[in-house]
Amino acid sequence: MHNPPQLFLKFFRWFCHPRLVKPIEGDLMELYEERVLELGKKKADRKFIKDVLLLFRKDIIKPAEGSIKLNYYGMLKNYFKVGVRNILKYKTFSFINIFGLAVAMSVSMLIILMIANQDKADQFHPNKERIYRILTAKEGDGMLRATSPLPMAEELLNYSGIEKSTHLVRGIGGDIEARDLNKSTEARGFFADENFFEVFGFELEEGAKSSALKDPRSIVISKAVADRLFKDVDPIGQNIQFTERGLDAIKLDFGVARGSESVDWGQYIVTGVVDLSKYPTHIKFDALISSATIDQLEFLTDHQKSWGHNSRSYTYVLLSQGVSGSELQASLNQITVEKEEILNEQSFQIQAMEEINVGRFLANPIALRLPIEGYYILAILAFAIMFSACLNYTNLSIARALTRAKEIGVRKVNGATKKDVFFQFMIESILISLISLLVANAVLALIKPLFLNLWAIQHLGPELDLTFSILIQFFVFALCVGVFAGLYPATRLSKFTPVKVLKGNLSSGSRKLGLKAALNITQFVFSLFFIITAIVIIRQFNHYLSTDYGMQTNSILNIPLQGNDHKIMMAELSTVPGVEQISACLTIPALPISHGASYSTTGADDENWYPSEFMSVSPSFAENLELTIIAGKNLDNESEGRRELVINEFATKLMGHDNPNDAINQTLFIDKEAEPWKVIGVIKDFNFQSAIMGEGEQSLLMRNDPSVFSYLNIKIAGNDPLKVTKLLSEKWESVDPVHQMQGTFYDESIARSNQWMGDLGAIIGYFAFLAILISCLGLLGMAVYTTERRVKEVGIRKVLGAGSTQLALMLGRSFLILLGVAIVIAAPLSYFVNKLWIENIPNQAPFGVGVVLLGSLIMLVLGILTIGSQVFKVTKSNPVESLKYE
Amino acid sequence: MKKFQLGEFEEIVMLTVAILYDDAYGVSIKKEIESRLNRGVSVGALQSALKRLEDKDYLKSHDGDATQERAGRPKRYYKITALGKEAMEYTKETRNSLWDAIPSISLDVKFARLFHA
Repeated sequence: MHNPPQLFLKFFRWFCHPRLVKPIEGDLMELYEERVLELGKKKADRKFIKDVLLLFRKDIIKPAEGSIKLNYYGMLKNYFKVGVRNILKYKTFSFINIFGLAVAMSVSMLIILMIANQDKADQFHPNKERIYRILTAKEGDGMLRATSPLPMAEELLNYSGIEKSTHLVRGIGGDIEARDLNKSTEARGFFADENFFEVFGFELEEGAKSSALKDPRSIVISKAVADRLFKDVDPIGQNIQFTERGLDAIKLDFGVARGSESVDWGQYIVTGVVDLSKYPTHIKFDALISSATIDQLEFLTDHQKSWGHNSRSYTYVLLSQGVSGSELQASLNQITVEKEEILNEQSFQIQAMEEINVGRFLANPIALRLPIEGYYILAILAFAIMFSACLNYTNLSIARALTRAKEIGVRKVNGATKKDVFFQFMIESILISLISLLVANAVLALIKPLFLNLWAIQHLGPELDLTFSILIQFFVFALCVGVFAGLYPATRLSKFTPVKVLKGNLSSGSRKLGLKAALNITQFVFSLFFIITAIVIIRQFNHYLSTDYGMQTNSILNIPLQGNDHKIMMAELSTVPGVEQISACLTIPALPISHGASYSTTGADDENWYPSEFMSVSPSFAENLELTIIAGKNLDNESEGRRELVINEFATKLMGHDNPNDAINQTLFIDKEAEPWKVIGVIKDFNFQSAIMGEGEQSLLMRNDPSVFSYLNIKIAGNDPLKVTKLLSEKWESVDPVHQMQGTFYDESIARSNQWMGDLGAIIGYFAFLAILISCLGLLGMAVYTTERRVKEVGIRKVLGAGSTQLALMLGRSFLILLGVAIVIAAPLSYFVNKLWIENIPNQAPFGVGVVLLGSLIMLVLGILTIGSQVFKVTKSNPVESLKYE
Repeated sequence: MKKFQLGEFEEIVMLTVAILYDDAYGVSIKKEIESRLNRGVSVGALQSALKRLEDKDYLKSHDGDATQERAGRPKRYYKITALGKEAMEYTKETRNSLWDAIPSISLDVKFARLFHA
């Protein structure tokens, strides 16, 4: 046997049409052999080369793609078909896989949606990649602040590489009135300078961008405000009146808007209208007032305008083309060094525009955003669930390897390579994950409205719009899930040796079962942890809801005064039938709105200054809320002039008086005021703090300063509070036609202020539900598989006289052990982890072993039901049925 | 009438396949043509003709046994199909009819010229 030139033989094999390769190569070899004998190797070689080269012609060369592609198409079709058949044939397993993957995917998709929609914000600025915000860090203060000193924006213009800088000064929150039109609306916003429209990409619907914020007393309003005030007239050039009421820039709805005393900020001219609905952004405002106005209003103190103060102003910088963020940071470092003496240990950092919306948690936020840490936590939870569901798929696929082993053997004997089998199983798992994607979309449609209804989510205000690009992301996500879930089974199954599997001696191996059990135990550990945590949070939430605040809150309606004189309003509203009593106050107890002050008994600097809640209430307040005076007397209408105080029992103890009566007529100094206050009464301790803040174990000082009252507390008698509310709002309108009455019942406000915890419980609860669902599905799969394989064994045992209970125990024992191990690991773990946080909050709900036992019991019952459904089926089966065939 | 496309070389290949009957595969066809017609035939030309004829359904093929001297490659045997037979007959007939149509004088002239030259 002689060898022709290998290079040319290879070349021939490469270019030749696969259908012709073998016979032609045979011809060539035959001729070559002959020629070698006849003409010698050299000449034969030459002729061989000539033949090969002459074969390189149109009819012989393989088509560019044809045959290979055809082959793949056929195989793909076959893989797909076999995949679909398998899904349909093993309905239980397909259901477990698809359903498990789908619910897990729905959560991940929700988080993808959230992130995608946050990413959409602030994409409209033409120079968005060059915009940075300046953050402030203060020595000894852990958290970075989104705000920076007021002079920063102007100072930065002296540095190179900075094209424009602008600042937003917070502190606008009040009423805009168009007096000529007799219309008014609430508005919150910022002071902004003329560079605002150059740094950011907002366009004005009306007005000129260059001059809109230039002159003092200019105001740019949102289209929503403009529509309310100037429906039929051109807003530009209109005069409006602004009354500052100290509304917080970030609107947190506890049913009662915080507002302080009204300050008249005078007249403004409308110079522009922005349609904010066009711009998804973190800068939310109803109105922008030109910064030049700040100096005309006595709104900021000199200290607040200085470099030493940093909680008022947000500084944004637009860098010149080609300048990097590190150069800006260098400039900031230079400022820190140069102004070291006046900076009060502040230093500055930069934050790129894209990091603002999905970024770290910052103090003094400009808008409520879920910080990046929140996303991390949600993503980790979702990943855990997704991982768990993928484990199910892996577990079940491996467990069922036997049913597919023969098929793999036959495929391999027929010429399939390891790669082909691997590919086949990958296609199958991707197929399943794509079906799951469809189901997941349905689940997502179900949970999305529930999710958006959560109180906390409403305030974070995410929009969860499905767009084409998000659907593509979902698709890619599903592909990844399919690949991830299928990777291990496909690798394992493709390794089967045909001889072994066709002979039928494929051992599943006890070691591998150990791995599967370990994976399932991990799932149950997760589940139990989630279940217990959810129970703890929900119990805590219910505990907060049922907290006894030591005061009467039933059928009390709290109404924000919205700048009205409390005396007139009280007098008018008290004439409404059904009103039992009215009182007024500055802050409402038990809501997360407070007004703090520090006090001491002597007023000396080195004396103990105690923190306290400093309330201002009308004399009727104590009676209205059924607070008990235990010593001295209540405040009266003249108390303010006489600087009289009512304090709580806790404060008397701090002052060193065991008997409350001893505190009467003692003097107190508040917030370093020179003139002392006199204690005239002591009330019994009650829980005036919001549940999460404390249990009322703090000093409470009450005065009667009518000038700061911002709420009325109206006690409504009778059975029809809604009717009385309606009468009240009618009466309100006759006194104040400008504002609408906003009232919320006290109990509802308290419930709403604690709602975030209920939401947290709901979210963790949902995760717990998913986790246990997926774990049980995994358990179900293993149980179905194991019991099905042992049907015959059970039949024989029954014939030989084994009882149902005995059989059930035999079949279920290993699963019970599995559940037991999971409980032994998870129960102490979740006990200690939950103890860690619950011990650090005030007002704890009782937390003990009972909760852990309850959680474990829930899981155990679900687990036993899962196993039982299968075991019961098998033990009840008639042995004749199971033994008959074959 | 159907049109049968059969080139000169293709016709030779068809005829040779018919002659070889049971033993028509690449090398044998090549050798048969070379010995009978006394002309060289490259493997490439032959194989491409065979493939074209097969594509036209004039020939059909089946693989034979692999043998030692062919490095374990099978021989591909060719046979003439009914269509192929029709095509050959058609070609022969057209030729015959053309021959028949030649007036005898035409050839005589040639002979005459030959004589006088």
